[in-house]
Amino acid sequence: MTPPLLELDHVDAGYGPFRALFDVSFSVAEGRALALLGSNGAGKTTVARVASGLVAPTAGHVRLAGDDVTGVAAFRLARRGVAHAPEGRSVFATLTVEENLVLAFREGTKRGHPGVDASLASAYDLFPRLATRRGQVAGTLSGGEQRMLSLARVLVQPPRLLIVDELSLGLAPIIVSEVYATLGRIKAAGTTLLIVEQLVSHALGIADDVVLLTKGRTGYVGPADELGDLDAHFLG
Amino acid sequence: MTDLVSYAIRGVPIGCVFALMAVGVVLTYKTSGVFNLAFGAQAFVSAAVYYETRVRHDWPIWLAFLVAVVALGPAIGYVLDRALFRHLRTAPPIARLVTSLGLLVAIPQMVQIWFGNSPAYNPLGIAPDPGRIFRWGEYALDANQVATILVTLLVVAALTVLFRFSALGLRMRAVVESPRMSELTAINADRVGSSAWMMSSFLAGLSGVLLAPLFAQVEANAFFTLLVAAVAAAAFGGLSSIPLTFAGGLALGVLQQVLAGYLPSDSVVSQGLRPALPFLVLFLLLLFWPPLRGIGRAADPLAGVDPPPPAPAATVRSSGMTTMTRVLAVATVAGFVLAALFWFDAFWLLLFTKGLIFGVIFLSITVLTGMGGQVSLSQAAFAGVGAFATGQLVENFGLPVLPTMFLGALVAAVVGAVLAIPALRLDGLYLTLATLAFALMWENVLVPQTWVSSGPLGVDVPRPLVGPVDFTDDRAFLLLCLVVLALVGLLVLLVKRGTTGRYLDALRGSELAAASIGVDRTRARITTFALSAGIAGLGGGLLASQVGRATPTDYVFFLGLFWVVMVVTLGDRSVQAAITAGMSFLLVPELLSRIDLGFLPEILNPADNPAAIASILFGLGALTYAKHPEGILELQTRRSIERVNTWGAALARRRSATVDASDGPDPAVANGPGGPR
Ligand SMILES: Nc1ncnc2c1ncn2[C@@H]1O[C@H](COP(=O)(O)OP(=O)(O)O)[C@@H](O)[C@H]1O
Ligand SMILES: [Mg+2]
Repeated sequence: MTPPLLELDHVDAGYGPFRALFDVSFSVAEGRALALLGSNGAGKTTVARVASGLVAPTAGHVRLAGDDVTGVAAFRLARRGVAHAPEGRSVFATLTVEENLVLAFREGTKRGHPGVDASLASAYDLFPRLATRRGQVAGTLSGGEQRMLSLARVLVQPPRLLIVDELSLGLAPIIVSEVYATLGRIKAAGTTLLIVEQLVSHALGIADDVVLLTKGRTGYVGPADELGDLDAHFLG
Repeated sequence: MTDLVSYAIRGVPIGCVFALMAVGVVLTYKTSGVFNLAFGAQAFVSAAVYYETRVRHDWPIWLAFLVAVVALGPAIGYVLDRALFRHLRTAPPIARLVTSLGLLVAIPQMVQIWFGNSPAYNPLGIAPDPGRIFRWGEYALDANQVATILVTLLVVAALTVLFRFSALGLRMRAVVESPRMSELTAINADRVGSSAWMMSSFLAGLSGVLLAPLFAQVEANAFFTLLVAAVAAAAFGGLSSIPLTFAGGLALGVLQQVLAGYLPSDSVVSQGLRPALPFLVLFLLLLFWPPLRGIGRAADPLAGVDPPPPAPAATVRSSGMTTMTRVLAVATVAGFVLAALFWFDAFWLLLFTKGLIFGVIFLSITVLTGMGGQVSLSQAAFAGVGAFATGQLVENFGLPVLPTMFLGALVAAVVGAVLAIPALRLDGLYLTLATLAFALMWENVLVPQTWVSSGPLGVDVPRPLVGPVDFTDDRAFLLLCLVVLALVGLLVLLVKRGTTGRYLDALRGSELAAASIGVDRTRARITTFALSAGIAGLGGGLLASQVGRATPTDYVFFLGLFWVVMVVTLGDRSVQAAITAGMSFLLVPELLSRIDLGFLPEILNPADNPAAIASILFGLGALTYAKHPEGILELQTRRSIERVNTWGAALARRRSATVDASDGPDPAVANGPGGPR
């Protein structure tokens, strides 16, 4: 049996003396999509950070395709195909749109490099608004455009595991639908998804599995279609 | 016309070196957010090594250059990054500033220990044939100047290519903005940061070696003063544009030479203006230069990953504890005072009194750095302003000494308020730079003026005489200093508890949030800075009065730096720590001078070199600031309190366990003591 692509195994994590996660365990199999749901402050973002290596667990293990990657630096995980679009405004505000996008190419950050042109083209295809603003400094984009850019940034090189945090926040509903359609295509192409969302309906539309988080502890962990009534979980 | 051009041409090589230093400063600021105050010290290191190898050991130019600049420069940068600045990438700006300040204090002394105290005359340049003159018509440059220009052009071209066109340049810019997000983009932020530090330190070494031949001898002070010119150039570039920075450096060099050529060398204007030029330019830029406005560093979108800084110890203390430490502190001071009054001999009496005065001066740092979260490099200058103003007012107008000291403090406070203006719209770094400019201008331009210092012997500041009480008696003067210290301490406590203190707390947390709840940043900033300058001025007056005069060598730039690192090392959050620091300032060198390690070479022996060793100790001590911003005194207090607390809790638990075994208090609360407020 192949090991799951991402596995959190009895993970505790926090910030300084503050503990945000208590004994969190779940796993995502290759090619599947997992929705991480929970109210504000439940620890969803912290889980995403642990998965991408931004926050090191204080106990437990993180495994990537069976390898123990607990405490491994974020850039090493990124090189192994873990992409994380953090919540909020997460673009390099002083770089131009195009510089934001080419940053991720390790072989060369110039147009004309094999691969770079094609990837840029597909990113601009996805978000035509970015194409018209490619020379603009990212900090001067509107909030919605910045969210698009941060998503485009992690998509220019198709990741193996894509972590998106509160993607829909600050985007117009129509764009949210578009973005989720894109996520669907990426998933179909083989990328594994970890989706952190407040907009439950969209996330559940694409997710195979669900993890419910309350006050840093996991509640329901299982297939999306056996979840049943969400409110009951939160109230109970 | 010809004159003008030839003066201007003479300014080009100097301008080039300014530009190199400035670009180096901008480079680390851009890539690591560290405004490297130690840059001049690093330049000094390479200049000293080049001198040692090239002149004292007669190495060939290429080898000496290879060792002093190409190898040593980047090596120092690498070590600084690995050991210090890498870990500060997400620390608050003040932590980075204090760290580089600690280095600025410690490095030159360490070099001096190795380099020896014997003067290093006639430094050599890098040109193989220094006597050769290159001529174009009526204009001429010597070989060293031509070499300087060529090297600079080469460096600037390389840097432009790097930042404009290379992947490394792009990654560097990304890491500056958010190391965390860069990591998510598969960039090894640590490695990129290291390369930036190595490059910038290479520039430090290079400019040191190029600058050395402009002076008669290799010594650290020259490099600090030049740093101001470099900082002015960097400010011209808005601390970010390398071409503008370069242009600024060049323009400053040329302007200085042209002024030197045109102004009659004996006029007052020339004597005052020429040396003051870089300081004035820097100050004017800080005030009016638009590119500096509102740049700040773009906030890191992933700053939220970092845990909040730990609560200052005082807030986790129980009230009983606070009372206990206070009683203990008062008892200690009272004990010392009694001992001083009835038992100390004249020497220790003077020393102890001086310690109290330094307690006053150091409270000015408590106000500014501990409460206001800002770093001033000109506290010694403010003390000097207080002292000289007191002296001049007493001498020229026959005013009584004691009230005049407060008048002197007022003068210092006004100067402080003026200096604080650049910091109003701009971030705290600019305040530090303004104080750097002021401190060096004070020392190099103002103090030599006779209306300030009355010449090299200084000005009389007699002991006060109030009614029947004659403070020429050392014991009476001790009591006076004690009273002043108590009053100033009380004032600081009041400010801390009062509205201004609350404002400052809010500002320290988050400027943006504070502004949104209506905290008036302008008022809070000016108040603290003027108060701090005033306190320093008062202390300076007392200090002068103790010895009877204020002389030009009493309030030098370097002393002010040492004060700051000393206070932040020991603790800048409490009145108590400032007083302890005042005592240590005198006692530590005194104690060191009694540690006679005869087996060490003279220069390493504390008994022979107490001041240098103390500088190194506290300079390096300031490096702990990032980890323990409350200072080692507060840290120790906190540790002992925690120990007492756990011990007390264990005792209570045991007691309650014997009373009711089933119902003991639960000590294992996940987010218990020490957690966020
Ligand atoms: N940098 C931080 N320092 C201290 N506590 C934090 C930090 N970031 C998040 N927290 C706390 O951790 C808990 C979980 O936060 P988070 O993972 O962001 O929740 P969510 O994304 O589900 O809203 C919250 O209580 C939050 O206040
Ligand atoms: Mg969140």
